[in-house]
Amino acid sequence: MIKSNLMPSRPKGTAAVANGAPQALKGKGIKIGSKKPASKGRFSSIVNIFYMLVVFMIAAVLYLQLFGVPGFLRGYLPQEIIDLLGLTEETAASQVLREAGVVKLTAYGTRADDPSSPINGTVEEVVKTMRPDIYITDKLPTNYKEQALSNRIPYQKQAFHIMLSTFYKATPDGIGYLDLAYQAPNFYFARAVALDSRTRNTFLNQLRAKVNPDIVVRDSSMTKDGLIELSVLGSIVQPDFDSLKRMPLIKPSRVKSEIMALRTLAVANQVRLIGWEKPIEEELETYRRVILRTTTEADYPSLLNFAEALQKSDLAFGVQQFVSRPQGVEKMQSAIEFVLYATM
Amino acid sequence: MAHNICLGVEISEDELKVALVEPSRKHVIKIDVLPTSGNSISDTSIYASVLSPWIRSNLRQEKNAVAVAFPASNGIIRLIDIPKEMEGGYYDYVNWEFEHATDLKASDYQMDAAFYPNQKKPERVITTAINKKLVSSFSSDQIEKSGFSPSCLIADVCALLNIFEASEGLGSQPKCVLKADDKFAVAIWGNETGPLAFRFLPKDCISPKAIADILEDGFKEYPKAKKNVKLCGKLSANAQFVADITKCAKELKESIEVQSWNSLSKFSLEKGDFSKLSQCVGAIGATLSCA
Repeated sequence: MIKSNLMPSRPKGTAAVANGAPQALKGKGIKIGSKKPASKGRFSSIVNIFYMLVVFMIAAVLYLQLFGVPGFLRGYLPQEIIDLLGLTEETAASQVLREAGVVKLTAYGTRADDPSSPINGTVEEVVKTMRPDIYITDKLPTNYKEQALSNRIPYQKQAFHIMLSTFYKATPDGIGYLDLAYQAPNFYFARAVALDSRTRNTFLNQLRAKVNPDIVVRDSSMTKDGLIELSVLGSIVQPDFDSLKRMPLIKPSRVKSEIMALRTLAVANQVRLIGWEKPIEEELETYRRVILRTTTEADYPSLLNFAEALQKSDLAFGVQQFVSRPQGVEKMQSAIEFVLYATM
Repeated sequence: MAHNICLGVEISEDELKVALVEPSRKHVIKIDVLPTSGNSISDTSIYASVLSPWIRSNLRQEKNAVAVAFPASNGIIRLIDIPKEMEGGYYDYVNWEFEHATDLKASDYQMDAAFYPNQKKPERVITTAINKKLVSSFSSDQIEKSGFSPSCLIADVCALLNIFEASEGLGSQPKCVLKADDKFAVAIWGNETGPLAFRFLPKDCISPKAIADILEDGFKEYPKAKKNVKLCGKLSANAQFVADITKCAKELKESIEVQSWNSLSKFSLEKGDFSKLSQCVGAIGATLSCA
């Protein structure tokens, strides 16, 4: 039984019975005992009880002032009495907790547009801490920033694959890259060399058809042998938010096994990663971030296969940055920065 | 023999659900749904003017109290876990949590908190809050004179869980009540230790499918619970809606049985029309606070 009543208690005698109210609506009111003359003996015993009560009250007040509220009375004494006597029900332990801000672990966010949400599992889900006018379930997150951390990893994995795939399909013969970079959530930058203006235009037309319209093109220079150097930057098409498979933050104990699984996946796709053995762990306020800065000399098709396998996998690593440059005449070297979010 | 009669009123956006009940005998005398003709019930003068003629024509005995259930969408309902480290000062914590989690001044709201499983060492607390202006309007001279000033003001979700406990009984396994109105839907899970979880749907999201989804989501936390749901609220009178939601709930991966709440097993009903019972259970539940 939930005992809840938001009506403030009213002073006696004002209840329900009101002059002028229809007869059928009148309440019975509050019975006040009828006055009867009391005998002397009865009167004196009442006086005695009154004095005993006064003595008891003084003793109780002195006890409370000296020793504070005893444990078994906590939660039972009315707050008004506690305030009147200048006491506190707070124990030393809970005072330390409050001052240390430990209770803040229960919720995060203090504004109407930033509803409370659990941080570390000490409280139940938002559903248990409901406030209807800030509960906006009909507003689906439509961009990367609005996504929870748990959604960003699958987003990054898809975006990384989309970026590699986009450039793979948009690049005609006669285009070579000096720089090809991806930055989460969906930004790209490429510095390329085109054999001639026709190749350049073909490349740009094919790229424009596949990326967002915010593309910026800069013709950097034209060399004396007719090669055109150009830069393009912008954003690739966003992954489909609905199709993102939610990925909960993993426990810190699983980080090593995730790194091993990532390495295994890379090897299976002919991508040899260097630097995976030195993860950078950062403890942020509410979660742990693990960054893996790796390099590889894998060719583009292998990287593309790897990106596809990564986005299909349940690995907890996303890709927050990718930079590829030529190394020598035939080879390329790529730096891939993986990221993983774990609980504290 | 005279009995204590309580008038239960459940407020919704455009109608009042009323119930005359003898809570001590668990006897329901009369229920009804009174439209407010499009007037917002936040104007409490409407509340009294709608109730007055109905009560004159229906009440033969004196009523002793009025209890009002307000919709969750008009107030703030929070089910909060109490940190295990706490050893006292729970009310301070509730106030602190309210202000920090909602960015509202606790002093502007009339708040009430009920601790579970007990007040001595609570594990969770249900806090209900409503703007003080609305509370004071219920205590206004005009309402006082009309005799409809409530002695109890309770959130509909609390009233529903109370009537569910009083009629069906609550054991160790969680049970679920679903209230679906045009503009708000809420599912409540509770067991013998008190309320356990809420799921809410705002008006733009209400559909049989969406409601089935919140039920499925809620039951995920209680895999052993019997997946039976009692449906009440305005939409429980809409046969098509009931058929749709029953179908959607049955088609879930783990099917859920949704039944209209049209009987109260431990309550006796006076002779009369109780076809709108599923819409009025909140009003009946409110009267339990009069007992």
